Amino acid sequence: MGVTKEAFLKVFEEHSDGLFRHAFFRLSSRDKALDLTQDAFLKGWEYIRKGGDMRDPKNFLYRIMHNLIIDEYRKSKSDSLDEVLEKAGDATEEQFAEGSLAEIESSADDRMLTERVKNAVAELPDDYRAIVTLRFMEELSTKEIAPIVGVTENVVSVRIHRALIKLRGVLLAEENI
Amino acid sequence: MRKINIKNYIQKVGTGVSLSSAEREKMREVLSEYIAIKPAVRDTADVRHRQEKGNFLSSLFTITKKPMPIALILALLFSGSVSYAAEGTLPGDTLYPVKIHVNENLQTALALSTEAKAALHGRLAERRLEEATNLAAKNTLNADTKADLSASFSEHADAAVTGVTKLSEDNAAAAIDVASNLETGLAAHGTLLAQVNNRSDAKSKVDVGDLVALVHEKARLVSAIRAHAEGNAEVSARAVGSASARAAGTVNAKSDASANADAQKTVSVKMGTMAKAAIANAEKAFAAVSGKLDATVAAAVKLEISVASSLATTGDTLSAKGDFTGAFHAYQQAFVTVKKLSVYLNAAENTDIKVPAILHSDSSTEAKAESSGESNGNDNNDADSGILPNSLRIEGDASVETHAGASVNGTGGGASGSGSGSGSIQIGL
Repeated sequence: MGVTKEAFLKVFEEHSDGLFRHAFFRLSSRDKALDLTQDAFLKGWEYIRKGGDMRDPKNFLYRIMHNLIIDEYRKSKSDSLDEVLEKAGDATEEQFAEGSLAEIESSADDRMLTERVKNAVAELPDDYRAIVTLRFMEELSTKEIAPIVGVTENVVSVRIHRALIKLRGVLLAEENI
Repeated sequence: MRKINIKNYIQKVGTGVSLSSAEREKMREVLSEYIAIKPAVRDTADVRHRQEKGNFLSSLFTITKKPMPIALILALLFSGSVSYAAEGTLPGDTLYPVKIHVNENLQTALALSTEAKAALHGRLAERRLEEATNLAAKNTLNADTKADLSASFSEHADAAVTGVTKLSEDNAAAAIDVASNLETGLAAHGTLLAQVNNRSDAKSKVDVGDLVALVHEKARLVSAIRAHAEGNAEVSARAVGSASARAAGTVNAKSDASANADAQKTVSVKMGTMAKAAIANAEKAFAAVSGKLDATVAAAVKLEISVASSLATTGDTLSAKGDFTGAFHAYQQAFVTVKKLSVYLNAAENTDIKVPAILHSDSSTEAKAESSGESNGNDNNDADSGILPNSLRIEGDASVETHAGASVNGTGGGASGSGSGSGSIQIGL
């Protein structure tokens, strides 16, 4: 017997938030992220029920999610660029309106910086954003990220490095205005 | 120029984003149903078995005769956004009938165990109250809708009560969990609804005072059953002990204290798990709406959460010392604290209730008032009355058991137990 229902639901409890968060930052849409998170688990179960293996649930689910996100991008390619950018802007605002525990605790200064980082992350190219969110929000290792996004560990490291430089650049530019 | 650690900030950005507890629960339900309908390939016998049961699902099967189209229908139901979109609707919305007649009927059909059924009906009863509160808060509740919601609420609450009553006989731990959850939820919803009802700014509103009264009535009923289940936990522990002792042909059941402790441990551990999950949920719900709360409310919520966490820690400590009765009460108090919060936080997402009565310690929830009433009148029920009396309870363990035994005999009427039981317990209140 492969993975039981109970085991899979436990995996759901452990990873649903992380997957949702990942989708949210990649897609800048709460609704789409919700849909994809649900889909990822249904697809995951589809695979398992037919005898598929899930040795590393985290890797397994993030890989499904990554593919779903790519599909989603392809689907929405037809949207005009303006529309996409506008949507992204709305989502980050919405996201900020919702706030978080961390923000309430922190000083206004800290809060502003957090918001700016949030915006900066949203503006990264998706290749970078995927890896940055996996690495720093979901705290996956470069070794874990590589198979999920389908590049070598080395490429992952390089992208993390470049993404951080980009982010730092964006933030410093704002600081100097 | 400041040196900032971007990595920390990225992480921080992420912590504010999570599923709300309602979203997670909904998703989990869909997944759980999906798995039940499409079990692992080797378990298809399961499906056939379910097909034989005359329920909502079987009617779907009989339409098409074959399992494949069913999978298709369900795939449409689940992966299509209609069913999902319907979930958050309110009476009057186009998709609300889908929520009630498709989603909820399907959930009911798929909840197989008594525990799952009772918990589901409890959740659906709470849902009706959420809907009533949301509509009332928007001043869009009319008399017809109110009547429908009250009827549906009553129906689900009664089904939950029946389920819990049944459960309390053979699975006290589950009965206590479901009942604690429902009791606290009802009390909190009642308080919230009363608060919305008493707002002065509402124009041409429908008075929901009678619904509030109904909610409190059901809450009292659940409370009484919970009190009995808690009594049963100790008694049934003996029953388990005696059965196993007889089977082993060794010790006299009455002296089998270790079996008793085992059962208390089961009850306590289950409550602990539930309390910790509820704390995590409350934290997430708080993170999701904290931007909408004003600073004092946010601080009060945070305080409550931290109180609950420390109660849970106390529970762990007591549990480690082998004091499972004490641990149980600490966990339960932690659970009650955060469950109330979650009800409010979820409402805060959809309504403009700024300062909830739930957070005022003086006008505290009915649950507290009721339970303190109970503990005055009834020694075996100290559920929500705080952690302080724990040491006393432990010393009084023997008397607790005597009481429990008495109350069980009192309701020992069998099938009619829920009716006659509630009457006698309400005197105790």
